[in-house]
Amino acid sequence: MHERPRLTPIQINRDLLRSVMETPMIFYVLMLLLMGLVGIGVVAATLLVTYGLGVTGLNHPVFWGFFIINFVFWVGISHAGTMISAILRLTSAEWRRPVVRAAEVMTVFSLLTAALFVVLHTGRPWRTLYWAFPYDFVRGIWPDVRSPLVWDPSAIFTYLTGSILFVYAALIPDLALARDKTTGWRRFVYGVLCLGWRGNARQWKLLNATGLLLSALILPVFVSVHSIVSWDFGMSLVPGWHVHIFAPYFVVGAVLSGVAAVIALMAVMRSLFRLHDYIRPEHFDMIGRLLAVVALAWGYFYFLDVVFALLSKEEAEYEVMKLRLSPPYLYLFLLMIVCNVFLPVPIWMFRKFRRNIPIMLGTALVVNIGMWLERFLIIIPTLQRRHPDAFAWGDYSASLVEIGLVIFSFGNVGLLLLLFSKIFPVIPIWEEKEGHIWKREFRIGKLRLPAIVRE
Amino acid sequence: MRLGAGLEDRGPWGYYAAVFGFLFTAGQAAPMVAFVPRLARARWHGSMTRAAQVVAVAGLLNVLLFLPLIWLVPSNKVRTTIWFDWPWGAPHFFDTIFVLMLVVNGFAFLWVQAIPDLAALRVQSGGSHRLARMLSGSFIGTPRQWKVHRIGLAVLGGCYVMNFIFVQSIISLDYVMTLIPGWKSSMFPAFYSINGLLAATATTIVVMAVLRRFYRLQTYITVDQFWNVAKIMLALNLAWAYHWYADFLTSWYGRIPRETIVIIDTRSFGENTWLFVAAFFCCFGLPLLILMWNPWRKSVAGPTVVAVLSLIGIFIQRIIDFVPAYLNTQDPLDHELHEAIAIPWPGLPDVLIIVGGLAGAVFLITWAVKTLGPLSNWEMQECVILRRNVKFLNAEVPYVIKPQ
Repeated sequence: MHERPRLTPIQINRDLLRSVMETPMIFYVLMLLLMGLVGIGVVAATLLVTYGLGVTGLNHPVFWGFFIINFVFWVGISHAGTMISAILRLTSAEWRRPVVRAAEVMTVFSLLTAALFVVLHTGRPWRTLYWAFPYDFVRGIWPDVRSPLVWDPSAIFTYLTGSILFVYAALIPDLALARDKTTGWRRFVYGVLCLGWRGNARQWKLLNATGLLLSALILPVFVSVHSIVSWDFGMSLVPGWHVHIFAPYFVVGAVLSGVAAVIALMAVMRSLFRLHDYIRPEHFDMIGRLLAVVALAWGYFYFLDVVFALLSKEEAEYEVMKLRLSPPYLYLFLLMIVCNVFLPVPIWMFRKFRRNIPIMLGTALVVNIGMWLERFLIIIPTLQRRHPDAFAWGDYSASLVEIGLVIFSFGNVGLLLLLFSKIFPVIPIWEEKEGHIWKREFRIGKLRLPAIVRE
Repeated sequence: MRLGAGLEDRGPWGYYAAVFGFLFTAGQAAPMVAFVPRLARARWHGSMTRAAQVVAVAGLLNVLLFLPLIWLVPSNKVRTTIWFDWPWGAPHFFDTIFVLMLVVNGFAFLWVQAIPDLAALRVQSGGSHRLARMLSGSFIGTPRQWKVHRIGLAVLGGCYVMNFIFVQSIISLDYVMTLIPGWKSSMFPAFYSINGLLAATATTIVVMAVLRRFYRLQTYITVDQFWNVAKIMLALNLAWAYHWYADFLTSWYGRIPRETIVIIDTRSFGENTWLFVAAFFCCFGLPLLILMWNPWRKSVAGPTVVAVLSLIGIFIQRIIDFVPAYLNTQDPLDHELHEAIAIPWPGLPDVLIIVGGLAGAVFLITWAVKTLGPLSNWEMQECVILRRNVKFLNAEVPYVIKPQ
């Protein structure tokens, strides 16, 4: 990478272990703030389990509201980890180094948060146990493995397991470093977690092989997870959901929202942990290029979704799309399109803007607003016209409890990330050092140009 | 023979349309393979750029093949197209414009890419090479000219990628899907485009292998190029299967008769099972089995075999796409197809069309290679300048210089 400053291994250790070794005042302030957001969610969840789904805005026929929107949204965000880590690792993209860990960790915490919403949307979660257990095997009743609702937990927990392994495997050398730099009980804990890492040649070889193997294995899981989430909708016959393009369209949407979230996280980390030497404008530049392509692909798939609903001449399909394209949903639709394509893509076309971190942070947040709206528009208007001839009991409007839980979800992921950064280095130290070792400059004519090793 | 039989009956033109579809996919897609590695600043692409871009000349044949199709397909008044109630020129006029636009874009991309080499030829021939003199203009390699040249390549390449996806989607809708009643799968344009991307990498590999063998370019077109393009091709083989599966599964679960009769009974496991199975194995099964092993991926033979298989698979897929659409005798405005359409064996005229179409494309590509040369010299030189081998401990490590 072009702008990598010359840093000694000691400097790298000091900089990247700073968040683990020191606890500045801003950490406590942020923690209190995020705990406040989580507290709002705890109150909302308490009301929910005490009084049941009556405290939400759910009604007939809209039984999936903010809960499932949030579920799809956070599963989408979780796609960033694999996208950044596995694909960039396999393609040997040099610029991956400072962003991989944050992205991988965000995957884990987003998935946990997403899973929480599936539990919460049942209203009184413990009652789901009555429905599920004891299962009536005696009478020959078995879980219907043909149901996407069975595939969903399988895919998500496989992805979660794979992602945890992914994070952990890449953490091992850094845990060993932390073991060597700490004392007392922390040294003991890091010592246990690093599994006796000494950094000999065999261990490095095994670590590299594990990284590549996990990258290759997790990619199909990464694609399958959001495909299966899309099939929760697509396998039904509900007009507006029975859409053939949903699987790749959901995957591309998830990558868009996830990578945008990584940009936001990078900007925050850079400022909070003073990582200016590690997370540089050139990283935002590269990730901005990637996002421009992904956003255009998302626009293409969304266009196909809309056009085919109008083209199908199926009355129910047409009615659902017409509802999406009529006020008040029309305004949300327009806002979504502007947020996801028309505003960010022209900005990402210019290198000057891609290297401007506040602008990149702004566009990343805008994209995630757009992607949340996209899930809203897929779920709510469709459910309102689920049965064209049925009597509708009214429109859906979210209650304060649901809004509180949305706030909670952001606070929860933020809090977990903050706590992680206190315990583990947020940038892989060994990868950063590896990048420094491989760095070279060569003279061509009058210029000295940076070069990278072709891995 | 086909024109003699007239344009009233679409049925006999199915294979002709399939040949057009295949050449339009395989021929027009390859230039993208030249653009994408350049965009990603991969330094292995230098010796494969010309092989990828030169295929664009097959566009001339595509334009000729496209002409009868304009008269063969009905207007949007008697079928439901994405043009809805567009008052004028849809779909025929605009489709023709789009096809021409893509061909012109491909030629412009090829020309701009070749300018430095043509300029070198002009200088070396002392100005006597008339074509080089005409096409290279006043290019002498000043920093400003190089800058403009790079911007031109980026703009034309970017436009080409978007143009390709757009035109392929439009063709898939106007010349295939909307001819069959009740078939409204939003996946099809995307699947059709994925076929195009797969064909792009496959064609590039095949052209590279042929050039390497017959021009004795083993020193320039190395295993490195095959290895890197093979990785992209494997990803596209997987994407092919994924898109097909998502489309199939949604229909299979939905069990909506108007969907299943087309997507399952006509296009997958029904009347044309063996054709589909052949396409599936050529585009996904065998490529996966071969390319999943690094020693095979990192060779010349492995990727070339898979590329040939993929092209065969895509050709079969184009037959599955086009022939039933042209054989359909039902009103395209009907709610659904009443009976799955079986694809007949090609007759003698069809075989002649297939052979002639492919031979025409090969002829044009050979002519273009003869005219422009098999390698992009300036990109080769750039790649040589930007690569260094450095001794690191006991090994020699290759470095790639990345200018801003």
